[in-house]
Amino acid sequence: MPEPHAPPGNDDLLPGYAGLPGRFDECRDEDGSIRPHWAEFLRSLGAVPSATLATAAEASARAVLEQDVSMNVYAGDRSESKPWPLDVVPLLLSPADWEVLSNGLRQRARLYNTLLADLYGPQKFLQDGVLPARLAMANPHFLRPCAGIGNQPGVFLHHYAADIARSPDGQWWVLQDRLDAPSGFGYSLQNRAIVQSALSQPFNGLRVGRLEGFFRDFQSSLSNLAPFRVRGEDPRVVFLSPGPANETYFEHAYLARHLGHPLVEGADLTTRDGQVFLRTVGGLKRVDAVIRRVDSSFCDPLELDPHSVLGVPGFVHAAHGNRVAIANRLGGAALESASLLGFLKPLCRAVLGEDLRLPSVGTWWCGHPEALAYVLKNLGSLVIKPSFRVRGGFSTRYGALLTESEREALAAEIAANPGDYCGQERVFLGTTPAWAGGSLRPVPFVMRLFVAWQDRDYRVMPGGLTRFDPSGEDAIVSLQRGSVSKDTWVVSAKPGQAPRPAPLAEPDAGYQRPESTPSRVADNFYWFGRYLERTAQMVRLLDRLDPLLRSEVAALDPAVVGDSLRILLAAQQSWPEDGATAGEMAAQIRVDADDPDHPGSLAANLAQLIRVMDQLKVSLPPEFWRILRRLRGIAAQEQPQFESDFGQQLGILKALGSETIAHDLGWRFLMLGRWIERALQLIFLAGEFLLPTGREGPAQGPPGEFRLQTLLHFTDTLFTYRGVYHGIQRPDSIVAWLIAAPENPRGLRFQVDQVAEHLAALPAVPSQRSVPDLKATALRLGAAIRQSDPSLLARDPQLARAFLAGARETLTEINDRLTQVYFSHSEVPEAIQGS
Amino acid sequence: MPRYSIIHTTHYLLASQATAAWQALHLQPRNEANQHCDAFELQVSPHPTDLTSRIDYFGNKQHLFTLREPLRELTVTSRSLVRREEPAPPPDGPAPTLAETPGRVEKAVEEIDFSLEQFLHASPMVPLLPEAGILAEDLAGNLGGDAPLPEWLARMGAGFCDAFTFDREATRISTPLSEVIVERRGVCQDFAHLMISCLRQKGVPAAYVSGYLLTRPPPGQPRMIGADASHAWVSAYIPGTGWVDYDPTNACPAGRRHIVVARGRDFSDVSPVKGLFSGGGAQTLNTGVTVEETGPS
Repeated sequence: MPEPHAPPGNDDLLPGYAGLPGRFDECRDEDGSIRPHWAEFLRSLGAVPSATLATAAEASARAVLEQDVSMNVYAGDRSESKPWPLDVVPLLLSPADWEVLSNGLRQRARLYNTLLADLYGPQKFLQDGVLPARLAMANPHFLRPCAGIGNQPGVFLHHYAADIARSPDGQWWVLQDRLDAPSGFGYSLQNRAIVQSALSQPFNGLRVGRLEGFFRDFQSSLSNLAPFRVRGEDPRVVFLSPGPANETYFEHAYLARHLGHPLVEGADLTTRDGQVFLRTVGGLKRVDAVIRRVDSSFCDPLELDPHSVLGVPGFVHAAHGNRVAIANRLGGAALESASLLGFLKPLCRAVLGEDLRLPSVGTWWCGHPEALAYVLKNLGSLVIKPSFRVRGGFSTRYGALLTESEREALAAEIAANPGDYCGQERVFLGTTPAWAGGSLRPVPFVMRLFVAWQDRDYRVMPGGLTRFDPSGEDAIVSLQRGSVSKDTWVVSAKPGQAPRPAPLAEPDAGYQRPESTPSRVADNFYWFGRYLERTAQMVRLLDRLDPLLRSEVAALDPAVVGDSLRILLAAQQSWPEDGATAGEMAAQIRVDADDPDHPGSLAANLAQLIRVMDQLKVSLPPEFWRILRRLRGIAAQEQPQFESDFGQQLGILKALGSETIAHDLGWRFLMLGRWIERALQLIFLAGEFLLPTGREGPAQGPPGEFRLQTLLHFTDTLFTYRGVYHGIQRPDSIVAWLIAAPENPRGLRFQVDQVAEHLAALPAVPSQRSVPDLKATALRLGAAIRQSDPSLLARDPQLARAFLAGARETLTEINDRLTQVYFSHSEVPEAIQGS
Repeated sequence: MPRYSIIHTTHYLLASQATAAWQALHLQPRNEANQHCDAFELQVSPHPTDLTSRIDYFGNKQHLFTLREPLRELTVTSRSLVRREEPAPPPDGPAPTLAETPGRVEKAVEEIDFSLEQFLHASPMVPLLPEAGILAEDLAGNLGGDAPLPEWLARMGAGFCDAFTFDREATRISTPLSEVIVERRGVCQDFAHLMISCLRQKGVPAAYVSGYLLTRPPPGQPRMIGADASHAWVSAYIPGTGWVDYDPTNACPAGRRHIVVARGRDFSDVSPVKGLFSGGGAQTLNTGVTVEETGPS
């Protein structure tokens, strides 16, 4: 049964690799032999393993960049996006290790679930003194408004994560448990996708446990938890995230997409009558289950942290009503206390009547006098942690790393409030091979394993998120501080034992209903369209700058050039200095364009475009992300090179918008944004050129030939106009082409028809009255344009002015109504059906 | 037994229109050994669709509601009829000294009621200030650790009246306790929080009591401070005796004129009216409380 063992002494598989003294190495045993599963892995790398690994490392690094896998690193008040650090060499877990770990974790999950349900329910274990009163009663993470939630039927702890390390004797120890809103599920899945493809041969050869089944059951277990699902309808499940600034937002987006649930933020949800609703473009939709990745204390500004902007007012009360499943239920952080680990063994006995299978790292809570004495005596070798982690509070200290006087100060600090501290044994982390500059070397690691409730019992994800510090330090392994992640492979003993990969269940049909698009997403799509069009327009105008100054027009009709420059200035909300020359105005236009702090400038619009795209990233395919990265690069330059490659990137964006995203409601709003913006830009240019407000006041007569030609040039219609009108430039035909011609895609009529068409496709759900009004407004404008008389408009500037002003007003009104009806729901919601 | 009629009105005026509001209330007087709430009525304008209630972790009744229509104003009015009698004076039996108290409390936590523990530690609005420990000793004067706890409590509480000035302008709800202790000015809520910090610092479990005070005194008795608003005082746990309420603002035990609405660790657990608006801009808040004795039942 065992794989052929590499004979001792035959260490050619990994020459030059040796574990660290006094530590357990995953790959090489105490005798120096390569452990069987590692031998099999190394053999599967082919004749020259280092070459295979180098190629795989390159492929995985490329995949991280291409898929824009990222994490946000907090720097002060801001967070900054960094590429996800991933080492291609996985951690391998043997079947025997997996047996120990998965059994132990399932038991821990059951234990914590019972303890949490009791803490937020009858509090029997506190009454019996099994759980030290102080660890609950003085615990800032025990959320009193949530007391009672534990009495409800169903599982309290839906999913859970544990950080685990191996000590020198080969024993696994749990370092900490994450019970509130554990992170890492999504990154594990993403790591697997990348590493599995970079090392496909070893992956298949080692019969590695697949993750798909775990996530499929994760999905179905949530649906089954939903307490009040409507018969015959799929439950509506949402994935609640703190938003793009959160350190693990990437995985929220990744997981939400993978599971097929809408990714929402607190502002997307609302509560009434003890229920949770999603704000969508189709009105408020009742939510059956929430996958929660917002920390409990931030979930409800009404009853929990009043300063939270991530929460949903009334969320706690909805949780009490048990009409929505929340995974995890609120309050789990109360049992994440490091001090509690010292009591887990007796708790397991008392609560489950079983011995604790997977031990926690040795922990002494200083609230007990004997433990305090022990900790003070052994301060030099222990790790000191706060009982309750709070922002700005005591942070973990390693006694061994302190000076004598620091240690004395710490002892005094502990003695003053012993219950606030615990001492923990320092685990000398086991090592595992990592790929470093051409060879494998041992690195101390911590792995995070994941557990989720699957209808009857807990199930452990056959994989995990392993992390190590590339410096080889093991004191603090934190991805926030530069640690690197690894995929984790559970290899099976016998061929064919690995479960067959099965695809995830189809996302429930309910999510495909277009009117379920969250309002915030629709809002972002709309502004994506507007900023995209506006930015592209400015790039086009700036492109015209040089040709304009050099053109024959400049010599023949300098007034047109002056007006053109003033228009370019006005487009960025600037005004020329008195008596400025053409050259000075051109220089000012360029300075403004590069200045992100100048409102309305090209750079400011680009910043807005980037911001909106960041918000929308989840809803856009990877092709967009690549452009987004390029745009970020352009925006970050000291002197942005707007003219060169930039316009192309925007052009690609527009094409992508038509070709690569589903023509659903989000796309409708994107197109509405684009057409409305384009129409407004055209009205602006037409107004300025046809009715120049020169020094002598508004022009009285019809515009001259050069002026009209420049207008065609600026509106990008010169070529099409010449094709249709055979080069004859007559004011009335130019006006007709720009305003009334149905076949000119840069003309007003075409744009307004597009607006009307997209409006017609919007759902009429949120408000029976306003939606038809909105659609009728666009149709009225279309009719007005069709009935307009181009020759009259060309002859009479005052009439043209009034006409254009009217069109602008109508478009602005459509903009405002869209916002009101679909995005902000500022109207009184109508009665909700089916709830 | 005296009966009281209480009308408590809270009025929000918003600078601009809000689109929604969520509110959580602690307004219904508790039923306790010396007090019974005979009737309670809550009136909210505009009328909410989903007024509900829940018993909170401390056994208080909490009401919650949501408004989902545009609003510029919000009025919450509660009317209560309460019977209240003078609490029996603590038994004369042996009470622990101040120095013995922490040990006795520890035992009580283990044997009688684990939840006493939560009244020994810092809570959201009551940090455990070392200055409060020193203040407690100052106020208690020559009484030291060997003084019986009830006596020490009365002396320390009485000290508040002399050392601190009642001043409505000096503090707001958000004023930190460390500032109150320096400025020595504040309102009943500040004094209650400060006394709680003093007691917890000495190992005496201390709770916050929110309620009302009959301010129109019976003939011959002095008028008490706290009119026109809700009142707040302190409850201290004396091992062997139980919870005893004390009003540091008026330097007296809480008696038949103190009507208990809610008990918690501090104001944040039992805030009478709290909530938030969606939009609405700046808020102007007006509160009015009328407590009247309606004659014995």
